[in-house]
Amino acid sequence: MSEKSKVQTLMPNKSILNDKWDVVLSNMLVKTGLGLGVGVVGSVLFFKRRAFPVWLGIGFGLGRGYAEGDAIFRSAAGLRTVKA
Amino acid sequence: MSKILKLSSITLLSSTLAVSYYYYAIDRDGYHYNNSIWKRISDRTRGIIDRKQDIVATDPFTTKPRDILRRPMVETMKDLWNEQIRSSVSWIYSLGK
Repeated sequence: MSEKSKVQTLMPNKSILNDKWDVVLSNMLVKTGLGLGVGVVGSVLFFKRRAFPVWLGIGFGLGRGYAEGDAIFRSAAGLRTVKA
Repeated sequence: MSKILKLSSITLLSSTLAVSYYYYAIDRDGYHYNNSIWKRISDRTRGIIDRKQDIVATDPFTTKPRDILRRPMVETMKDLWNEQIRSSVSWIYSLGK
């Protein structure tokens, strides 16, 4: 443990924002990895090992991760709701 | 490349794929697929978007003062690095068991 470590009070160490970021970033990593894998396989099988399918797959993965992350941040997930 | 070599390589590749598929999907009934981390993350994300699951905050909300420990990022990165080294070494040792 470093000497720089210090103890503070009156601050929650977790928040709903952090939980959402946790889900969104891990999902983006998974989707980008899947896109990369599909791109590599497609490049080897159909495009004579050219690079563009890999970048296309990464782009699709990043885009899907961004879209789902956007949906999660816009949703009311994690908020306490009461039926009125 | 001779025809026999080409035929044998195609046979080897297709039989390897068939055996892999059999053990992965039929014999184990998709166990590794259903328990994979990436599928769990993807399912959880899909569940949150479809409102079938929710994000449960790990700490209950409270207004009481409490102590938290804040560490510098350098120490956290060192911990992550050491953990990765330890898990890599234990994986290498597990190959000989």
